[in-house]
Amino acid sequence: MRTEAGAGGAVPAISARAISRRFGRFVAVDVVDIAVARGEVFGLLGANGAGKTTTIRMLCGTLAPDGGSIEVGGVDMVRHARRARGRIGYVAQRWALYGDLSVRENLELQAGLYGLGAERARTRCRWALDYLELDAVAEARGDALPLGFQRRLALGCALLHEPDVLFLDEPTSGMDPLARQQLWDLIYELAESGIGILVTTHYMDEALFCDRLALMHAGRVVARGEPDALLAEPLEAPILELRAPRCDACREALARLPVVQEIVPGAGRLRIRLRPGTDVHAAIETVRATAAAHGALQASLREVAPTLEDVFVARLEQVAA
Amino acid sequence: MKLQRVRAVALKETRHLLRDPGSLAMMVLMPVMLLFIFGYAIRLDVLEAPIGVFQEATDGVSGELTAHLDASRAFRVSARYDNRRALGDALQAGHIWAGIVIPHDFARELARGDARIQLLLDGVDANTARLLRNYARTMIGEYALRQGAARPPLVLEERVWFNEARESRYAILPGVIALVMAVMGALMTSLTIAREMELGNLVMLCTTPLSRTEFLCGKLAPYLLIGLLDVLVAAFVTTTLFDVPLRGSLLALVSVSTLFLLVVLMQGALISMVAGNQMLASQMAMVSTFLPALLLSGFVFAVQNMPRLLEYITYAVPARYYVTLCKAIFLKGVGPLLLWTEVVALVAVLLLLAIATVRRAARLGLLP
Repeated sequence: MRTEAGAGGAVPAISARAISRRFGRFVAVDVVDIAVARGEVFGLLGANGAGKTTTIRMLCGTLAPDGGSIEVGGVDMVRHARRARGRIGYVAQRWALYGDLSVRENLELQAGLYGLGAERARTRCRWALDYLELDAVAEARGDALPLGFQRRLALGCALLHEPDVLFLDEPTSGMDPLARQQLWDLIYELAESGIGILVTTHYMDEALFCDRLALMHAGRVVARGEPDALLAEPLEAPILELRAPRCDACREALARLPVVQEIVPGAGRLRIRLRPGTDVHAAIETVRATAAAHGALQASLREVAPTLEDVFVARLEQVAA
Repeated sequence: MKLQRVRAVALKETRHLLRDPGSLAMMVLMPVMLLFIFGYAIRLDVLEAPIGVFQEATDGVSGELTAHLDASRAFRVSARYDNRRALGDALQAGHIWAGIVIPHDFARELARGDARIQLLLDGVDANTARLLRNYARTMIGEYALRQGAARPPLVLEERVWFNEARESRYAILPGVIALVMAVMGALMTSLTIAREMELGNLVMLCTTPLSRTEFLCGKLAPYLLIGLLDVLVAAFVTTTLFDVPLRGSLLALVSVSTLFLLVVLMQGALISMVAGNQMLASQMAMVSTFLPALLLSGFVFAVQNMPRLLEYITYAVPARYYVTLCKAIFLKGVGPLLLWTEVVALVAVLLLLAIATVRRAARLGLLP
């Protein structure tokens, strides 16, 4: 038994050290470290093209890294690929199961692919049908299922062999809010049972559900940590919020102020990002005067706490500078 | 390689087939249909060919010769003409395939021992013209002997072995089975991997411990069974409906068919991966099997008569070996052991294709 200093001293569910991948001259992933502990929900964020998909493909073992090492439950992903693949479960963003097979048949196929014995295959398929509430549609064709059921089936297929790590690529994209919430409840339950879960997502509110986050940009991790810790870090560029009935009228005038960096309009409000290092009190006076001069007399104006998106935007600006 | 994973893939593939009865029916019925089309369409012998006769004199001897030709299985005197021009026009219009002109002094000259008659042939279909000429020659010779002509000092005694009745369909149908299986085998598997690439299933398969050999074996297994079923149905139709004898053993036929099917199924799988989409893959499978199997297999056109370069190319056509084996098993009743060179050649082609296919499968992202 190997032990190493990871999360809580145990072997992490997955740990990637300094992995890189180039496609021709394009560096898709540039020396990235990622470790997910058992029982942890880890969020990987980033725009399309930031390197998320390449990273996930390397972690799943479907793409060999040019450099660095990946271990799943202590098993080397590159050297012992078969054993490592037996320890991961992967749910693709798109439907990747078989539409002309029934729910049960898809599960049976997966049990066969993972080499489960007959008895274990039966109990695990039973478990998946019960746990994911797929029993009622067990005999329905995969392509006849609503999106939420398809995602649950994909999840069931990925969990059949009781993996150490679960990869969920954009698991809630296209789902309605209720189904999203249900899926997140499920993700927490699975994490509590001791699986390490790596989620990619576009939704900032979902990023807050994760235990830890990593934000990728241009192939590198530019921010990482627990969501609360990331939010608690003071920003160089303060944010003001202006609430007024017709605040759109003063938007252009405010944008011309030298202290204002960017204005994000919302319903009945403007979020005003000031330039880094601006004195907040002086800026509030200037903004209030300008707003009043443009008809927003009963405006409420105050400094607000940054959202995760603000934090990330600030980080990306730092990287760009 | 773990048998359980192969079985899982094979079971899944079988379920795809059962869910798609249209395609399944096509795979089983198409060979029979092609067998009928080719069995009836390709005839290399001539039966009751319509010929025209112009008798310059209406004497009994000329009439007797005409009746002699008409009585044969090869010819049927469909029209008589009273001048050369009308006969020529009929030949040009295609109403008759050949014309015979019996001169006015035929009876006298025959008595003198120096008679001549004219045979006019439609050379547009050179093969038929040649057949008609040979038939006519034989029959005129027979007639002359009957008229008391001296036997030539040297006579060729011919015996046609393995196809005593010289029925062309005996020679053709075993070849048709080879042609049909070449096309069907490659066509069936050409769709299967391309479909998984199109639908994105490989994304999922690549994260499982499935290896590419397990994947390929599982994919090909159900199609091998369908192919063998096709061979049995084709053999049944050939022997019962077309009366072609199966002189060799069924086991021999099934064994060499298994070998050949593995070759074409593998070819289809390789095409499927190279093409990457079902449309292109099926077209590539059709072209790469049908044309070589039709033209370069010795199925209709003997390989030995081809230009040297083309003959060398035929060595790379797997159907060539299967055609030889099929004909030999059906007509000569010999086993694959006597034709071991063909068997070895097929095994060699299979090994080469298998290596190429497994190598290409590396790009799918499955485990080695």
